[in-house]
Amino acid sequence: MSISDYVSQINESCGKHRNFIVILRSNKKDEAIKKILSKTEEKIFDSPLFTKIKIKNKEVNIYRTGKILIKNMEGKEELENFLKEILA
Amino acid sequence: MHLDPLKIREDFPILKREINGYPLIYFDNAATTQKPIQVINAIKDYYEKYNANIHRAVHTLSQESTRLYEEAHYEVAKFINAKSYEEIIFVKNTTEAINFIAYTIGLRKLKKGDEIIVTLMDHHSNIIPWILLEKIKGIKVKYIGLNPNGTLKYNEFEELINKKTKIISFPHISNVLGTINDAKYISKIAHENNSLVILDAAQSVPHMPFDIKEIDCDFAAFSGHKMLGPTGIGVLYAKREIMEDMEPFIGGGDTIYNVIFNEKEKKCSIKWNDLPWRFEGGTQNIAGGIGLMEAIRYLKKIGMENIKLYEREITEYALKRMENELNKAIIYGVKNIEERSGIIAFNINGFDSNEVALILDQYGIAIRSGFHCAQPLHNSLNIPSSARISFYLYNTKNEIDKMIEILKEIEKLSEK
Repeated sequence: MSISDYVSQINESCGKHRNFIVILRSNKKDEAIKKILSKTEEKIFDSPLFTKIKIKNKEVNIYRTGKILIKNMEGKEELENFLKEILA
Repeated sequence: MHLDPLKIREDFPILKREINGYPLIYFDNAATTQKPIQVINAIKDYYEKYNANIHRAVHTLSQESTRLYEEAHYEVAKFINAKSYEEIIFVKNTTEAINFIAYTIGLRKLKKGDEIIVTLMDHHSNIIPWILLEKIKGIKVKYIGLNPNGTLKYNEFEELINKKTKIISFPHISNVLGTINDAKYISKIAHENNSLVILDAAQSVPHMPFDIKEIDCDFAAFSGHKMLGPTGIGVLYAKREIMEDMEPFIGGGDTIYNVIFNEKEKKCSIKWNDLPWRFEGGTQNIAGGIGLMEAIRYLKKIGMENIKLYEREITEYALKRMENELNKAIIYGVKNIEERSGIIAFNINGFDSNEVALILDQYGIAIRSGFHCAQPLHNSLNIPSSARISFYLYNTKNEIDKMIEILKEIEKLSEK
């Protein structure tokens, strides 16, 4: 599995911490979200606005538009390794 | 007031778009504005009918494009009440305009130990060029601080200004807080000290009547894309008497009147071109200049005073609703509506600004989140980032209502 199978774009957001916005491919969105949710270690909340979970102590926000906000990463390398795990 | 936002909206094709199944609500105007069909058509017309390189060609097409491009300079000069088109230099954007000053005046006229004053409210585009110059020339950059309400500490100007202060550069309006600074006062105290004044007018020229003679700054910078014009075109206003003996920052075609090779000395002698062409080296963004001219004509037709008053009205409406109906929102900046423009920075307790922006995006509402290229301002106010809404003439109260309803839903989420 390659990240690009599920992800169309990654943007680093602006702010104090290194947060990333991962945009899922629209045709793979549902499958990708299902995979990510299956890795949930802690559900912080689940609402119509967005779902916030924790995986490996990282906060992951899932939006119905297929955008995922992943917080407090050290950099792109850590993000890519993290994505490989949660999308496996 | 003679501004009908619903009628204006008809001129903006993009506002008919849906995002994520909802009508687009565009509240990111401090970053860039949408373009009316008149501007889009002016650019299209140029490429369809007049496209040719400007200046010195004798053929008809070139003369037509030259006339339009030069006319764009006249239009900008009139719009800001400059003395002459010779004071209007087209650049890429505000950032390039400020760098332009740094690499002409800054590089050539400043010496080690000279000082430049900027503010903690500044966009990075008015901080980084001076830090670069600090490294090259050994000058010192000093910073005016902020009060907790996001206004400048005016008393610090008098404390920091001294004989070594050569330039004072500051924003007319904060791109984060919307604070309107007293440009006339700062220009006056700077000139009393014989310091040059640079005004970052990126957030003011598009939104209010602007009179460069009244402010009396030496330089002003603004971007076309923030005032309904295309990207890649911006303006540097530079007082003629300062630039007259200045050599160009970018040398090349159109910057010179002639270059004569002296066979005996084996070197070229140069006679510089007239203002402003001396500072517009190489083929310029001709279509951009023409698009900017059309944008200015569009704004003038509506009236800058009308635009200012309308933005004030909807900003006041948004601020009141946010203050009265949101319990967890922290709104930054001055309370007095006359001291601020149509920009509102805020946070909602329990959420970071990116979360707020991503939720609004689901409903087709475009706002900005993060530092807005003003990290020192956020450091100074001790906030990690902020969400920012910024209005323009096509926004409506109905759009604000829709946003407030979503923000209320976000607040409910934090109560769970």
